[in-house]
Amino acid sequence: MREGAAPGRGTGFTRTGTYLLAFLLVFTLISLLNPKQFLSLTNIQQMAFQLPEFGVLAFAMMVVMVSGGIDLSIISVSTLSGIAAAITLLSVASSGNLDLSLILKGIMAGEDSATAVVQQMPFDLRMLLIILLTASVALAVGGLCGLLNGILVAVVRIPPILATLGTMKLFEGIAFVVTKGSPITSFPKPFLFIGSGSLLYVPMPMVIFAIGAVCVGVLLQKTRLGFTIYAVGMNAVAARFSGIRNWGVLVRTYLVSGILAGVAGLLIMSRVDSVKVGYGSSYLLQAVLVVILGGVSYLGGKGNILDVVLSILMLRVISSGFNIAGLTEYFRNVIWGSLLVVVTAANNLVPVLAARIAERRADTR
Amino acid sequence: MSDATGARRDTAWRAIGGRLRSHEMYLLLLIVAYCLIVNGINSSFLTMENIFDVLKSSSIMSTMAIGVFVVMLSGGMDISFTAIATVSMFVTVRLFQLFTGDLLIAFVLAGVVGMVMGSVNAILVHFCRLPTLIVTLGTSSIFHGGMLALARVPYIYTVPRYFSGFSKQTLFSWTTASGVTVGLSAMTVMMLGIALLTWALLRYSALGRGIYALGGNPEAAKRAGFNIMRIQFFVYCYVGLLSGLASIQYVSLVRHVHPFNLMDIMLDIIAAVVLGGTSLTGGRGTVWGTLLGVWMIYLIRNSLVLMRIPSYWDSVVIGLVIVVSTGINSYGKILSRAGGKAIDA
Repeated sequence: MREGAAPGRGTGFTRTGTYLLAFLLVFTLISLLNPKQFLSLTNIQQMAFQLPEFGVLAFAMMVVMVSGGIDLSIISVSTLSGIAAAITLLSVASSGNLDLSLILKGIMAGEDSATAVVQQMPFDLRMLLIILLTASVALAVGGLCGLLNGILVAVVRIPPILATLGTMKLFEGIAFVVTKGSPITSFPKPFLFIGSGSLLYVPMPMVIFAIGAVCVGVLLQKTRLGFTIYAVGMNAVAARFSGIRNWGVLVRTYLVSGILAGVAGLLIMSRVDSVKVGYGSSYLLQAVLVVILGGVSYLGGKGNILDVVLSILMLRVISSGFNIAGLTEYFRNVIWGSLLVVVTAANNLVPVLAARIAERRADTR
Repeated sequence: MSDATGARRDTAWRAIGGRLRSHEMYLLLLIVAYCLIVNGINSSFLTMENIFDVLKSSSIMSTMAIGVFVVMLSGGMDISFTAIATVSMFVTVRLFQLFTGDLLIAFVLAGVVGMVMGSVNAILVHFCRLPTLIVTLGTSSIFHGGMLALARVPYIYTVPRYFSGFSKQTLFSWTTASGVTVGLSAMTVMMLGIALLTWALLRYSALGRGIYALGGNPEAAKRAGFNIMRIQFFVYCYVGLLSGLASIQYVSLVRHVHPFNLMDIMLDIIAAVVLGGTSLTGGRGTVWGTLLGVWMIYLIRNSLVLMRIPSYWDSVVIGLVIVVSTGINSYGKILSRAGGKAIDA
């Protein structure tokens, strides 16, 4: 089925070079269209703060797609872990211990004076510990959700589309039951540093995004797990016969994806200073799009992190261009949907056409 | 002689036993048990009026589910059908505000609009050889987003009267002791007609056998000489057609056009088809099972309130139903492979 496809690793540099060129082209094009608005400091800053949460979600999608699956639950996972983290943060910060009865009472019922006190808490060792605890809760909940996905896909063997479609509804439902649909807001100021602070002029979310990219890159290219993820995605039967325990690899893949979604949840929560069911729902289509745009095959076994990072940057630049042009969300959806179909079709048809042309050339000789 | 009749009786018994042990039978028993439990908690549940009402209001879901069932039977997946229904509903009602018409033309028009969108999916799936999930994920936002972007006001609150007339028509109506008129709704009859037609088509026509063959093994179907292109076009146009018809049923029931309401039932319908025993990879499943699946999901959705469970548990329950039913479906296959025998043939 894919004998005509270009080999992924051998031509790695030229492929990435193409992506870099495409990114620069898009960037200059949109800069030329409206240099004053697009290249303004506020616009660049806004992009730098908004890109990471989407980027980390795209990594979560990418890891799973390299293994030959798909994870439609990433948005729900990030929402659920954001909510768990928010409850931990508020209850520990205000009362000093984890008060789970707050969940039952509905955490939003706190008095105004109490929330003001929590909001104005200074940054000290105690706060640092609370933030670390919050972050680990977000990652742990994300990981647990991912683990469930992994078990459903690898052990129970439900096709990934349906398993994650079901858990998407399930996690979203749990998040809705816990919050009853209302937002949780007013976090302590020091916590907001994660999503809206800057480290030596570099936005903090961007730093986390870069760390995430390096981690995912190392995981996929340099570790045993990464190698086996590619192997399972390329040809699951061959992988099994070469002594790889496929189910173990898949469970870990979905676990990693869940943890990444948890990181995204933390970033969203800290940037907008609230969590609510429904935040980030427009990211799902875009995440699938950007991963496929980045050269990851939906059949699995192909793709590299640099190309995906460049596609993420490209997509954000285009999106910002739409903002400046004043396109409505609906119109954007039409464009993202068309791009998804066109890019997938091109990925599919170009190797076939190339093979056919090469064949014809060989014939004429 | 006696041996032969004995053997014949034996096979007959085995056939009946097989039917009893089928997935559909389990589901039917499950539905009956569930109804009895709900009725135990709230005795206003199992009344003639309520049963006919369930049959009527669930026929919108059933009509769409039959279309989705046919797609999944062919080994594909469609998540754009709610977008198709929403667009054909809007286009049809908008046109009928400008021109006069009647209900039959409305059904035809909505069906045609649905089929056009279905054929776009078919072209992308067949000629570009794209995975069905990615195609329909893309076209779903193209159709729905396109409608919202182009229509200045995507809401319609004054729908011509003959639309709502359809949902009120009944067959064999009678008045119960408590003075409520009960009857088989025209919507239910239409849905049952579609179900019967689909069943006959799948069972007796070459096209229908081709759909089963394609879902079972695409390569084998191709080599057996089935026209794959014709099958793909039929399957995606059929789900488009049924979505269009269902959207008009919906308008006639709720009497207004809303651009997001229908979008929310997408997962319920996929859950219903899977619950109905349609194989996740295609090639196996029945219309009858699909209808039972829809009724099960519809009952769960609408009885939580009767059982005094707050409505925000809906998503959790539906998510659990999808995970558990797909889980049983897939895990049963592993077990049957391990034991070397088929569980549901």
